[in-house]
Amino acid sequence: MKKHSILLSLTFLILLLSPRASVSDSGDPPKRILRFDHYYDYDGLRKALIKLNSNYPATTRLKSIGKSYEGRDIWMLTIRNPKTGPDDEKAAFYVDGNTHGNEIQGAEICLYLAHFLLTRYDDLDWVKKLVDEQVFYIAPTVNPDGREAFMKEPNTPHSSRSNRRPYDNDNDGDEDEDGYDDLDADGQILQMRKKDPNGRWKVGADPRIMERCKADEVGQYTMLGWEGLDNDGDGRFNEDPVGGVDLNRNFPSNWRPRHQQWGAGDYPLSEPETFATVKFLEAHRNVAAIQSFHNAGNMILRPPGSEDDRNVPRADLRMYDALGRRGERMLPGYRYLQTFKDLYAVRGAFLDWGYMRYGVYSFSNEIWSMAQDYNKDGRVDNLERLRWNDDMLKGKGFVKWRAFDHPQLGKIELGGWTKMTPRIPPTWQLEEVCYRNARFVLYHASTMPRVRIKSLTSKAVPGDNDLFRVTAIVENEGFMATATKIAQKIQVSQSDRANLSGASAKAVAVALSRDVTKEAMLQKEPRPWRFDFGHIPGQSRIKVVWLVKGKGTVKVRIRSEKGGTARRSIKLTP
Amino acid sequence: MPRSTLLFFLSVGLGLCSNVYAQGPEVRLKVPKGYHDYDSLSKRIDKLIKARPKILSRQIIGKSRGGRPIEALLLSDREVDPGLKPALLVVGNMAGDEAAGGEAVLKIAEFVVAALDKEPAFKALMVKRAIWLIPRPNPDATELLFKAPLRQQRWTIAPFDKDRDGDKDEDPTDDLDGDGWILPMKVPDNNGLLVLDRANQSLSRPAETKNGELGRFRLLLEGKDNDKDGKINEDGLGGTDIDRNFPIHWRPAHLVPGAGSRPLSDPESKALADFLLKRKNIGLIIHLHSNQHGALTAGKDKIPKDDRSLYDALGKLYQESSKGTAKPLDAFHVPSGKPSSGTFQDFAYHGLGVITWPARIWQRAPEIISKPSDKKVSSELKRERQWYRFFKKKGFGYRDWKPFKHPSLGKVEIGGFTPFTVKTPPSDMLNAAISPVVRFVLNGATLLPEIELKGKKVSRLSGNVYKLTFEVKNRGFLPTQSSRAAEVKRNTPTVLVVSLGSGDKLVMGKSRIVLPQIKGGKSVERSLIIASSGKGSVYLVVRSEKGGTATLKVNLGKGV
Repeated sequence: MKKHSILLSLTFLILLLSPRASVSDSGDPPKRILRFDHYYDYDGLRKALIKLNSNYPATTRLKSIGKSYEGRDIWMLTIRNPKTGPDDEKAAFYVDGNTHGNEIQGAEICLYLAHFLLTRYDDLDWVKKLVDEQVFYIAPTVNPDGREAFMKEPNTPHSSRSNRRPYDNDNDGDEDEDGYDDLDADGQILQMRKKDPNGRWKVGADPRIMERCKADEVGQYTMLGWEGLDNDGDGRFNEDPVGGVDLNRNFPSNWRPRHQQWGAGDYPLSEPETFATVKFLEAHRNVAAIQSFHNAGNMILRPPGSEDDRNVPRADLRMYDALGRRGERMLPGYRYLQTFKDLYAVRGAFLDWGYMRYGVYSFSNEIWSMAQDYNKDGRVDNLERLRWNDDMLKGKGFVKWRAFDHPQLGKIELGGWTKMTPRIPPTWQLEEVCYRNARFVLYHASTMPRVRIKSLTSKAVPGDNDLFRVTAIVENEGFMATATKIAQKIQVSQSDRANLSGASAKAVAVALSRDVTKEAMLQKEPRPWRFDFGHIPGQSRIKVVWLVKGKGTVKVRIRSEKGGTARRSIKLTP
Repeated sequence: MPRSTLLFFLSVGLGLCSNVYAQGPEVRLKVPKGYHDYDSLSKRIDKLIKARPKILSRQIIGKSRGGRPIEALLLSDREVDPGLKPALLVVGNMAGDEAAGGEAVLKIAEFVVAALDKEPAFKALMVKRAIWLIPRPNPDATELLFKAPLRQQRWTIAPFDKDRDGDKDEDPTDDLDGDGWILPMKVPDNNGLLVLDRANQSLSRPAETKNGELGRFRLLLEGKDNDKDGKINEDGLGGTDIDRNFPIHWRPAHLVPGAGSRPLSDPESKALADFLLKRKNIGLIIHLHSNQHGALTAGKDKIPKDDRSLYDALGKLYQESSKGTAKPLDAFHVPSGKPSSGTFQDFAYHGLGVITWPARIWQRAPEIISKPSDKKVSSELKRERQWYRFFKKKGFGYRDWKPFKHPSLGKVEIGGFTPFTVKTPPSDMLNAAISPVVRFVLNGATLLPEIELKGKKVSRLSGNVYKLTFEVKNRGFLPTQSSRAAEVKRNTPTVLVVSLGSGDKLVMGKSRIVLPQIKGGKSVERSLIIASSGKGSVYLVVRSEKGGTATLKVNLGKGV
């Protein structure tokens, strides 16, 4: 008995002392290079990326893809295995975050994704496969100025959304001349209210809540907007704060000018930040999928954001739905939505450009939702938010209304949510948010097209010593086709190409079959050695047959813009 | 501005100067006299600047894809900040092959510089106005008209993979017969859908397939299958049609050939957009085209009534300026029924609310009045017949079809209208074609809004309290803001700022007064009630984005 218990405790001790079992797929990485229990400021983010880059110099590349208006670098970390081929011969996944300066957690998710891919490469086969076969372009913040201003300066939960280029929001000829002011110097831009017998607002069920009066109710308060002064003396408060171009309304897809779309900017890609993104993607046509991270509201948004699905081909919709439903399972509480139909109209959004103009599957996730629907009425209301704030944050997320002597408005009160509360998960929730969203990206990435030459055979044509029939079976292993239907429709996709070359051999004819069980049909192709055969649907094979004249070894190369490049060679033997 | 003097001078002055370009038709030289390639245009501008450095200056507003600086010339007396004056912008040919636009712009500069000494009205004009001239907004493409083989290249030369085979511009046109021109090529083909015109065997028309008529040939441009893909000229030079590359009503390239990969994708169009966005004092734009049949607009937006009447007036002036040779033009009428998208005109007017007039230099074969003829004949063919007769009479401009042995197509014919004909006037007619435009532009400068500030009345209410009434008048013809500008929120208001003398106090009224739109010839009246210390004067400064600035100094004790 005693012996037994000693043995047991010994085993226990060994278990404790031995390195952690590393086969687990739980998302608890065996190696920790970075921590995800806080939010990184711009410099912290830069240092974190440098740390990843210096820990994994072979599989990462850190590069700036452009500079923000205020001159900050927009960093991009590329993760891939250069030993398995050059980047442009592999399908690539583009992911970014923090397009809106105040929506900061997108950057942490991007960082987490990079961290996960790198730290789990050695122990998770499926991660290794993704990094070996594909490329990840990760830009944690594409609005570094907006992020920095949000984190370092007093803000509302919703301000510092745009970049920092001065903009004349109120069209009075001056730029940024009347922004918010942190009157009580508490680091928060709160709301202002004033007692007023003719006011149309009243105190709600909780003394912190303000509610609009019904038409036949007597009010107590007038709401005066966000904390601030009338800096330019035009009678209005905070009508022209810093910036004004909403980067996610500045992309060249169904872009509409400022009188039709708030934040549009003077023209599409007028801003250095949006221009850097598009320039990068235009130069990297191997990108086959896009994800960007926003907040908030627990949503997986798909395009179009500017119209209904009339221009979305059915095959693409099936792929979208499969990915979106999978996302709903991986991200409990998230809803998969068509942006325009199910949410609101956005013109010139990045996800629209990514799909409607660039031609790849693009998602925008709206990360996190504050509080819970305690009474199960299908929505989270202010009372529930306050209850959650009291339970989980000890009430610290809401500044209770307090008197303030305003230099222009007299005796008023200040109060409201702090900037970090309603849209950004508390740090104790951050890691799970990161993990689940990173897993969604990795699933999306695993469905990208991958072109392989399954077999390559050669057979002499009977009765001719010089003529061979070379047959290649080409497979697209991914779920996605080598081009979306929309890319073909809007003519931005390049055909996949089958090349055959040999030092002393030349293709004289080429035949194709899209059903490998059937005989290939002779193609009308003046250059059979470089045959543009169109695209391969997901999970399917095609057969390319060349008639080759000559001898020696021939090389076959299948090049797909989005599905990578595959090579194989074979010796012609009579 | 004494407009009548100016008008009189214009009509005489242009007549006097019209010999500058007088040249006979040059048949042997491929580039007709009177047209300037990039370098010679630049040199002429240098000369003008040297002659009048205080009035004429040049700015580089961007670089073309081919690395050529895109120049903007500023005609204005720079003693007064030109950024504060009412300004007019003239844009030369955006379509590379419509080179007469650039020549007209040069002519405007030369004319003004020459006239400055002779006529004080022009000196006054230069003090009160700024005229921006952009002669060659698409310099690379225009340059192709001057290099052998001559070709009519409308689009920029930004390489673009039109057949999406991974190579850019790999199968351009070729001067097969080595005659120095890229001309049409007639390829015999029973599936070709074209037959010879009945009336003129040099021209072609679509076969009447409905009546069982078979096509006999198709028309291509001179060229061979450079990349051996079985297709001819399927991926030629360039690019982007910059006049389809602006962001208002832009439609993508799979719907509009040449639209570019995205709005303002090309440095040429982007330079122009940035230029215009920066210079908010530009109140009128004249955009030059040659041989362009319709207005360049998407035609979707409603034109506000007030703006419509401005355009009607401009149309009348345009016709006057051309002495009746130009048809009255509706700037928004799209005769073809096929509206254009992403045009500069839509960007400037529909996007920014700046009144923009498309002026055409070379509209149709002169001196030929079209006869009411065969209704079945398309208007396009009718026009071609006229052009044909016109150039045949002149003895150049149309090369008769000559057989040629094509390397892959066998027997073909090469011929047709040569460059510098249908799209640009021949040398001997260039001056006559651009004079109306010069007149129109200089008239246009007098139409701009111009703010004037006048004291109307000072009355003493009691003791040292005075009521000051003043008037802000727009002396120009155009309003301080178009109505479209208000619709699209591009109407930065006219603002009047009051500075009081020391010890003065405002009893009623604001020290910053925002004024509404002021139409041409109209004025608004405002008052202030001021408690005066009697020590200083009251200064009023009014600043209108497009109407310039004006000031007023009032000593309340002395009245206005």
